[in-house]
This record gives sequence, structure tokens and C-alpha cells, in this order.
Amino acid sequence: MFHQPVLSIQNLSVEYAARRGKVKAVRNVSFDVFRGETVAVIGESGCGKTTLALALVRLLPRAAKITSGKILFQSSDHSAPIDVLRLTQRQLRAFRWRNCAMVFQSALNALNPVLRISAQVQETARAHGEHDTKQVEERALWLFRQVRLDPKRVYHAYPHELSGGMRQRVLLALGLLLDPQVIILDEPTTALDVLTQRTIIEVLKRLRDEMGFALIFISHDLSMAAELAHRIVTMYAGEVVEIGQVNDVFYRPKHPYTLGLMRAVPNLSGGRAELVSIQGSPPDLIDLPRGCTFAPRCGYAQAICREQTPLLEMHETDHASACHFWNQLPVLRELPAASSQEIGS
Amino acid sequence: MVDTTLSNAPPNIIEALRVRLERTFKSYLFRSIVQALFTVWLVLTVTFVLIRMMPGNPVDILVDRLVSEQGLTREEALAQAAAMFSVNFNAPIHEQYFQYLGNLLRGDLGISISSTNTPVIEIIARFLPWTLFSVGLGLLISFVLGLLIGMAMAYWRNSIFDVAVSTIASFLSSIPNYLLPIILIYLIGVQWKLLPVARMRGTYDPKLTPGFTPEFIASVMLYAILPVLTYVLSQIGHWALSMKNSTLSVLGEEYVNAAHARGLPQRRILVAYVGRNASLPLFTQLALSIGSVVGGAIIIELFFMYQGIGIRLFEAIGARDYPLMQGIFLMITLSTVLANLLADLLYSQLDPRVRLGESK
Repeated sequence: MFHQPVLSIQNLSVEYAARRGKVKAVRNVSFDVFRGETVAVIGESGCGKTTLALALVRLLPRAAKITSGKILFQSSDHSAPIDVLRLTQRQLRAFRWRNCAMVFQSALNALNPVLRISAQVQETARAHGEHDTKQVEERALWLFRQVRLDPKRVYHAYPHELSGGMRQRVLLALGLLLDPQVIILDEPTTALDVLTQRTIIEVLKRLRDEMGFALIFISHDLSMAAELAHRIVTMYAGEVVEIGQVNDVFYRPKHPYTLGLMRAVPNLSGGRAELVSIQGSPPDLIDLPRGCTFAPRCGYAQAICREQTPLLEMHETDHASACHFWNQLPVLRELPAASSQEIGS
Repeated sequence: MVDTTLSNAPPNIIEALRVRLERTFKSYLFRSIVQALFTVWLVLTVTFVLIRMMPGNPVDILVDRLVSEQGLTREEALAQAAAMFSVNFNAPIHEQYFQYLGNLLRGDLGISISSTNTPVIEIIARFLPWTLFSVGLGLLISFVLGLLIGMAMAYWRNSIFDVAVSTIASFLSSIPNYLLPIILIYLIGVQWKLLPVARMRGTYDPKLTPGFTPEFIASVMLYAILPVLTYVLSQIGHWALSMKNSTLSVLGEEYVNAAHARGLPQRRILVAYVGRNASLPLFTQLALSIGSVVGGAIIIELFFMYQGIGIRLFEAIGARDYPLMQGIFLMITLSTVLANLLADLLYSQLDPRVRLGESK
């Protein structure tokens, strides 16, 4: 189904300068995002998800530095791939939003409080060379309708006149204003109530299918990941520890950390008794332990895990993990035949 | 049918009227003006009480002085004092109060004691504009410059520029404002001889006739340089440091990051995102500082012999010219309240969030 990568992340590493030393927030992350595909990046707080997202559009804070790697963007018009890390400031400004939009974690605070939504829509369009205000307004109103907002009212409102859920949807609409090929959502629903979350998920699904953008979303909400994503990337201590099709990863995880995440989430069919949290806490990213970074918290760890770092290896079609004992992990549920076809087709 | 429409009509009109009134009362403009009016009334009343009703009040002192110095009888002295304050002291106290308020409304502030037979309002009309001009200009320059410097400090935080300017700013704001004129006169007038300080007494060259001629305006500016410079130097450090802190907190806001993500031009982010949001809290401070700067004008005008209301107030105090003092105090209060109102309204234009209850 997905053949051409629109975004290719290769060996990306990001470090933060801290008083104690260098915080290795993202380490050697590589994966591709295909055209029209939805990839969910999951992991607990501080695993490097947000740093990764910020690195993709080069919005890292000053203290952070990309120490290695490449981010290649391949536009749908078959022009030469863009090396995001090598763009000049001017090129970068053009690349952002037009090609790759990002919806921020705290939607409540991501709009300028002193400007009307209309002004923020128009300035965004103008920054990318769209000067036909009438046409931009129509596009914005159409998008507001798509995300189920009252278009006229919202367009002329100030941010403080809108609720959190409305602001989140305004941002989403704003993200789609220039029809980007990739849209990054950083914890898009964390601050929202369950019903608003539902609306956003529904809207995202529909728009993604209609408009064909690739979606990278960063979340620790596994149920949302399961519902939206085609593929799952699990990050732990700045590294990708597992990557694969959503059902493969969720039903037959090949890394004990993913397994732990699954077991820590309640579901309606399982009882309370099955909930198990992961022992311990993530490692110090300045002074990383030898061997597997997850070993200190892992129930399957053996002597080799503390000595030798497992590499991210492909164990099955489209399913890779970084674990020495990947084939000893239990199967959570048999893969349902229908949905595997839907994903695989 | 007819009955229902008839009985429905009045409540609709009343309801519409009620909504209209409610909107007016809730509007920011309305509330600001009411607040300002109340402040003015309060000041007028307190002034009246202080001057007329307190033990050892100015009227009694004036009457005593007239009796002892000019040998008038008590009645004659009281009549003269009444003429000077434009209030009949024999009337009951509440009548005196209303008389006083009525006089003020007509602009009658009494007659100055020291400059005989000159109405207080004339003195104020002649000298207050110069104070408002110099103080206003000084405040405006220090505010705008301080904002720009503060933003630059925040952008280049921890650079040599930031450290140097921070040090200078803290130093400047710690100099007491009576020292600054002395330092300026010494450096500019005596050491570097940039300005003929000794000859610059007043608000413009006395050889020129006032008017909108280039020479006159140039002279006004030249004579205002030193007082304005003093206001600027004493205020700018405060504005720069406040703006730096404010900018630093705005730079950490998500909407600034999001603006970068949206690919907005750097200049647009600087002005409409960082600058505008960071300067908001400073406008509140500006409103507050207007009063204190006008109050501080006395010392500064005295040092430079700048003929503003500050010098008049100083002289009025020396000559115990109570009607003039009262008039000047009232005018200073009025200007402060008015400036506050303006700052308030400006603020509501800059920050849509304070325009509560005002619908488009």
C-alpha cells in the first residue's frame, strides 16, 4: 500500500547540553514514513519522542544539537529529495508548514493570544506566498467545517474565546491550510476530554484518507495509536526499540518494553488484575548503562543483556526489535485475520 | 392572537434595553471612565477636607497670618481668604463643599496669594503644559528605547551586550533622581561644554515669540533636552530590565515556537508575537509610573530652572500660597488620572482578553 517514503530519518542523534554533561535524548533513530501512512511514536515521558518531532522541523531549543544523521524529505512532485538538516534558514522557513506541519502539544497555548484566528490564518498563508486573502479565507472556512467547527464564528474569534478542544481543532485546520505532505502531531489529545478526543480522532482519520497526508503522531495513548496508526515505533531511552505494523506490535510485541506498555494499559476485555506496571524508571540519558538500556527494568534480562547492546534487527516481515530474547516473549493475542489483511494489502 | 402579540412586545423591548444596558455597563471603556471619575471625585473631596476641615488647616493659617501681619480684623481676613479660595466660609459646611465643587467645574480654582490677583487656573494653564510635555516626552523615549533594548537583551541573553547593558541599567536605576541633574549639569555643561547650561533658564529662548516656527520649536527642544534626558536616564534602566524579563518568558511560550513552525518571517514573529505580548505587562507599569514621574518633576525642574508646574509648586510651598498649591495638586492628580485612563484604554486595544463583555 505504501511504497514511497515521504520522510526518511537516518541515524538521527540529538544531544542536549546540560550542566552534568550531554543528554543523549535521541540516539541513532532511523525509520521511514511512507506517503499517506500514519506512524505512531510511543513511549513513556522523557524517551525522546518530542525531541525527535522537534528535530524533524528543526525547532529544537538552543541547548540541543543534532549530532548525526539525515532527514530526507521526498516531495510528491518527484523533485530531488530535500535534506532538511542542510536547509538554509530561508529554505527552512519555506519547508516548514508548506511541506511539513506540526501541531503542538499544548494547543491551549499555541495560538497568539492578541491576534484573531483570521489574522493567524492569513499571516501563515502570506508567509508561504499565498496572497489571495479571499481564497485563503475560503480554504480556512472549509477546513474549519471539516474539523467540525462553526467556521464563521471561529474565523473571527480570538483564541481566548475558544475552548481547548476548539483550539486544538483550529490548529489542526491551520496545519492543513497549505496541504502539507507530512503532518506531525505531538500529543494531540492529551489535554482534552474523552469526547473531544474522539472527535479529533474521527476527523483525523477522515481527513487523512481524503487528503492523503502522512501523519506522524507522538503519543503515550496506546488506544489512540492502535486506532489511527498503520505502524508503531516504540522508543525507549532515546532509541527505537521496536518498529512494525500496528497489529504485529500490539498483539505480538517483540520487545519487552512494548510488552510492558501493553500490559500497563487497561482494556475493557481484560480485568483489573492483568495490569502490570513496568518496574523502575528510565536510565540516566547522560550516563547510559552498558548493554541493553532496558535490561535493569526487564523481566527477561540475562547476563548477555548487561554486556552486549542488542541491535534493531528485522525478525519478521516489517517487524524489527532490539532484544536478545525477542522470540521468548509471549503472544498477547492471535492476530485477527481481517485486520492483518487491511494493513498488509 | 392580538392579545399575545401585544403582551409579548413590551418584554421584548425591555429585554433588548436590558441587554443593551448590561453591555454598556460591562464594557471596558465605560468601567474605565467611571473608575477615573470616581478617583477624581475622591481626590477633590479629600483636598477639600484637608484644606478646610482639618485642624490647623491652610484657611485658618492664612486668616491668622492676615490678622497678625496686615493688621486686619478677623472678619476682613476671613473675607479676603474667602475671595482667594472662592468659597464663602460663613456658609454651612455642605454648602461650602458644593460651592467648591461648582467652582472647580467652572475652572475657578481661586486666586494666587503670592502673585497678586492672578487666578490660579491661569498660572496652571501657563506652566502645566511644559511639565506634561517634558515628562511625557521623557517617559515616551525611555519607554520605547527601554522596550527595544530589553528585547535585544533577551534575544542575546548572556552575551556581552546583555551583561554590559544589565549592569548599566541597574546602575542608572539606582542613582537617586536628585543626583542625576547635578551629574548632567557637571558633565554636559561644565566638563564637555555641550550646552550653555547657565543661560538655559526657562522653557525656550526668551528672545523668540512663541509660534509654530522652526526656530521656536528648535528652541523648545533644546531647552527641554536636559530635563528630558534626566527622565529618560532615570527610567530607561527599569523599562529595559522589565522588558528583558517579560520577553524571556514570552520566548518560552508555545505560540512563539508554533509561529516558527508555521514558517512565519522572523520580523513578523519579533513584532507581532514576541514584542506585542511581552510589552503588555509594561503598559500597566507605564500607567502607574506616570504619577510618580510628574511628582518627581519638582526637583528636576528646579535643578534646570525649567519653568514648569514643578517650580511653581515649589514656590507656592515656600510662599504658603495655599490656593495655588491646591490647584496644582488637583491638576497633577487630574493629569495622572487622565494618563492612567489613556494607558488603560490603550492596553485594552492591545490585549483583546481585557475587553470583557464587549461584543463585536
